[in-house]
Amino acid sequence: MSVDARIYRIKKTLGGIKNIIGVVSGKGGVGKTTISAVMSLILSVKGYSVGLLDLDFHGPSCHTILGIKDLEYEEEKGINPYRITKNLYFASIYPFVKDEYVPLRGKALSNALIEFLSILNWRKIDYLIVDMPPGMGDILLDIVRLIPNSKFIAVTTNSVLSIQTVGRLIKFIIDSRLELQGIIANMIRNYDTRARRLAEELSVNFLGSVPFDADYENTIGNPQSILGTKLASALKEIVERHIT
Amino acid sequence: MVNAMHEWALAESIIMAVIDLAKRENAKEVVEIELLIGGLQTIDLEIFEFALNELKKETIAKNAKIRFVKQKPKFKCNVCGYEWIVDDLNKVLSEEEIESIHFIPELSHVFMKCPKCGSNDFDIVEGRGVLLKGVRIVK
Repeated sequence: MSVDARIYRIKKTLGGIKNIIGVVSGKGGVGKTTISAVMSLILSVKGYSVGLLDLDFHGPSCHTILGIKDLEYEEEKGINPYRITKNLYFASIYPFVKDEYVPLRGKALSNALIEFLSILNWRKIDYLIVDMPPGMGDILLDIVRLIPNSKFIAVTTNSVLSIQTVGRLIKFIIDSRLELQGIIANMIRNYDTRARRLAEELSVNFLGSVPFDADYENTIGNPQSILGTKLASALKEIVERHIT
Repeated sequence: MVNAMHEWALAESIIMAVIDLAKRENAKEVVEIELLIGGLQTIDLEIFEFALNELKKETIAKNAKIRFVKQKPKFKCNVCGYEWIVDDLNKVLSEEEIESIHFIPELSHVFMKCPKCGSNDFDIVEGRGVLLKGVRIVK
C-alpha cells in the first residue's frame, strides 16, 4: 500500500494559513535565515500573526537570531510551535538535535520533513515564513509537491555566482507554476545592478535591496536590537511595499 | 515535553487517509485497518489505539477492527553494508535521544552509528514508525 497518511494532516494543519512564503536562494550564505527571521519579526510587530519555520535541517539557526536558547515544544495532539510573543510562533528541529550534526540525505531527509510537518499544529495565522535550505534539494522539491500554494522570495547577493544560481532556481519556480513574489538583493555594499538585471531578464519583481550592515552581527540574539538596524529598516520597507 | 500526546497526530493522519481511501473506493464501510508499527518510533500503543478509536467514531470506519503488526527496527549501513536489528533502544540510546527519534525517526541518523564501521550513513530498512499497511472495505 503506497498511501502516505501524513500528507493528509499536513494539508489540514497548513490549510488555515493565509500566506506561506518560502525564502530561497541558489547558494548558501546569502542571508536567507536573516531575511526570514527579521521579516517574521517585522510582520509580527506590525500586528500580523506569524509563524517562522526553520527547514534548514542541516544547519538550523533561526533560533540563534531570535535569541532562543531553551526551546521546548508543548504537546497537544501533535506539537505546538513555540510561542515567542503573543503573535509570533516558531518551529525548528533544533530542540531535537541541539548542536549535533544532522547527516540526512535523500529519502531520509524527505521523510524527516514530512514527519515534522505532519505533527506540527499551526494555528490560523496570517503568514508562515519558511527558511529554506540553500539550493534545489529534497526539501524544496517536497515543499513544491506538498504545499502547492506556497509563494517564494528569492534572496541573492550581488555576486555573479549567487546571481547565476538563483537564476536557475527562479526558472525552476516559474516552471513549477508557483508564485515568485520577487527577488531581494541582500548584503549590498554599493550596487545591486546584477540582481535588478536578473529580475528584468526573468520578468520577475525586484522587491528591493538590503544593505550590508556591519552592526547587524552584534544584534543577533536580541530581536529588539535587530529591529533597530539599517538592515531591518530596509526590509521593513520591502515588507510594507510588497508583502503586506 | 509531556509524553505521548503526539500519538494523536499520528492517529489523525491515519484516520484521515482511511476515510479518504474509503470514499474514493465508494465503500459502504471500512472493516479493517492494518497498521505497521515500527519499533524505532517507540509509540505508546495504548494511547495510539485509544486515539484511533476516538477519531474513527461517527465515520465510515467506526466499526473497523484495528490490527497492529509490530516490526523491530532494522538498519543497513551505506558505507560497509552491515545490517543490524535493535531489540532494545534503551541499550543504545539515552531517554532524550529516544524522545527526539519518537518525533522524527530519521533523527536516529543523528544519534546512532553503524556498530561495525561507525558511520551515520545508514538506511532504516524496516521498523521505522507508523505505516498504513492495508484497509479492508465493504462496497
